[in-house]
Amino acid sequence: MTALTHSYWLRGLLFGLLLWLLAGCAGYSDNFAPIAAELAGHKLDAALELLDKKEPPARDRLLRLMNRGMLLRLKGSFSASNQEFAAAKQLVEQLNALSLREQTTALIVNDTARSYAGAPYEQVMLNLYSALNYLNLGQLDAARVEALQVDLLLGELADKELGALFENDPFARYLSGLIYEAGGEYSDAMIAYRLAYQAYQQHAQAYPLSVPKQLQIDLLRSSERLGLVAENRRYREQFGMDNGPMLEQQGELIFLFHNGLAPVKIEQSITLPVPPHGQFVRIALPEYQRRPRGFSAARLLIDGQLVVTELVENIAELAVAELAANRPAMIARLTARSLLKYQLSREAGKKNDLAGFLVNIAGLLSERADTRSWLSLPAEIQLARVALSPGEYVLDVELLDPAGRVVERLTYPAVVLRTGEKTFLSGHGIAETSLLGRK
Amino acid sequence: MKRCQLGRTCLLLVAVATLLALSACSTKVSRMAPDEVKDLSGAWNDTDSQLVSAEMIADMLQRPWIGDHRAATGQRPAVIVGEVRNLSHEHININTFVADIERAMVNSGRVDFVASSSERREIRGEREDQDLHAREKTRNAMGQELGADFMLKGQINTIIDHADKDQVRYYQVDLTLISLTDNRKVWLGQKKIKKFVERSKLRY
Repeated sequence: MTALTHSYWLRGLLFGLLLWLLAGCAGYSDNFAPIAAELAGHKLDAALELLDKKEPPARDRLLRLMNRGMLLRLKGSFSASNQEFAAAKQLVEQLNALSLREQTTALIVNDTARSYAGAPYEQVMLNLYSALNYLNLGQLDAARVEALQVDLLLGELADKELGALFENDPFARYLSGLIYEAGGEYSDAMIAYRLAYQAYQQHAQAYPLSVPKQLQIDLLRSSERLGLVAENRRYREQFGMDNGPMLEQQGELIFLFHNGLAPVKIEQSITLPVPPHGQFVRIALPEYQRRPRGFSAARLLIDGQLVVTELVENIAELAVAELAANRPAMIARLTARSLLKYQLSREAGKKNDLAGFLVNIAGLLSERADTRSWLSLPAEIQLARVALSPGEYVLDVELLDPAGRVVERLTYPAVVLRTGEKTFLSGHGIAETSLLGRK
Repeated sequence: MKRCQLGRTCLLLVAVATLLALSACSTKVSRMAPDEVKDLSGAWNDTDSQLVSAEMIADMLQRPWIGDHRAATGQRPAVIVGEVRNLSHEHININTFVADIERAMVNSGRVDFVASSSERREIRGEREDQDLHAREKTRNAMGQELGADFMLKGQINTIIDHADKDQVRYYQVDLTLISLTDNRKVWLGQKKIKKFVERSKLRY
């Protein structure tokens, strides 16, 4: 046995074998691939069954709740979906407290030993999708509660001073504005629209996003209604638009198109030899891999009108940008862990060569990137608003591929619009091509 | 010999630790009196609902509007509960709050209470059914309902201030009693609750 550990080429071979084994290890996202395949095939019950089949470890409970919530929403069970989301929010609250036990394990083993508490954007999405569920149920006051909660959450994230990207979420602000306006709270709506405008500009500096045309119209209308003359003039100059009509006498349809699936995290790793003592150090970091969107937009056909949705939240790019901003902290933890593992194997190696070798292998084997994320989230949210006279309408929605061809159709046979009220509808589109990101 | 003793002590320790760990696993239930205060998360709970409804209704029943109504009509006022809106940061179960209010009012015996619109619909359905199927003597005739004189409306608002993990949660419940004959507001009640919530910084 000592001959084995002394012989360098044998040792190299062993490490080679080990690396090959490591590469074959399944990350978190692989578990979700079959569920995503069912989603693309519109088999929601089968997807739910698959999700429920395997009980996740306690540290992944949040992911289970988030995925269940989203799958139930896709199925149209909005109340059940909100129960899952409410449990998820409660869990996030609990996980906000620091666990010394988990931190210590994470320092010795890897980041996946910690309970998954959700990335900031995922926490915002929890509130956002709860609000959308309530709007689908026609419970405006309950949706308003979510709008207040997301404001609180963004305030708490701002307290942590993580950076501008985390302090404001464009669509969370925009949706809050829509909710306030639907409830006739025009000054609150104005404030939310302003914050949304700010957030779109801030986020546009980090990743592709622009201020939606609809928001510009909303800013113009709201500032005009409240008699904010100077602000209204400024918006007219900035947007190059004139004030639009007030909507009091009309019913309004707000259609949200949830497109594709959020990116998956994959592990990028490298194993380096540390020459003087024949030790190896492994560095593994998560990286997002985007999934193809499949659809480019949705086209609404209602009452002879054609309206195309526009991007209001780029979840995929937001996720990538947040991970990049989080990288320094991850590298710091990784460095501390590598040093610790290196020291451990050196100490062991001083007493016994074989022991040192085994500790080194254990250290390498346990070094895994944390590839957990909320995989059933869409890649982006698009929005269209149509104002019509009150009545019942048939809404046809065509999902367009990047070439502009119609690939899928959704029909809403009885959309009721009431005077001065907003009707919220959602459509989800997950294309087969969205699955190609991971085998 | 000494070694053996050490081993035994260790074994005992392990056994005790296992027992402790196991006892933490099983669900433990202990009964509480409904009026016992137990604050868990700092959110709006049953205690708040009971406190607010009891105090506000006690205040409402002391005010002069009841006497005024009796002097004018010679009858007890009939009240109906309208919408109580939740404008707070939390998903508050308004139904239990409204039920608490109704109970406090009916039990006082000083006002008559009219069923809400959804309850009325159900009762009317039953009366229609009686018209067809019930014996003549036991039938309840239509058009004999008691019309409400006043409607109680309200809202729950919150202001939350936070720094780091600490929060100050401020609840304000406003109730308004409005006369259905002339839209006069005859009573305005307000109750405030303030809580300081220190959220734990550490967990297991």
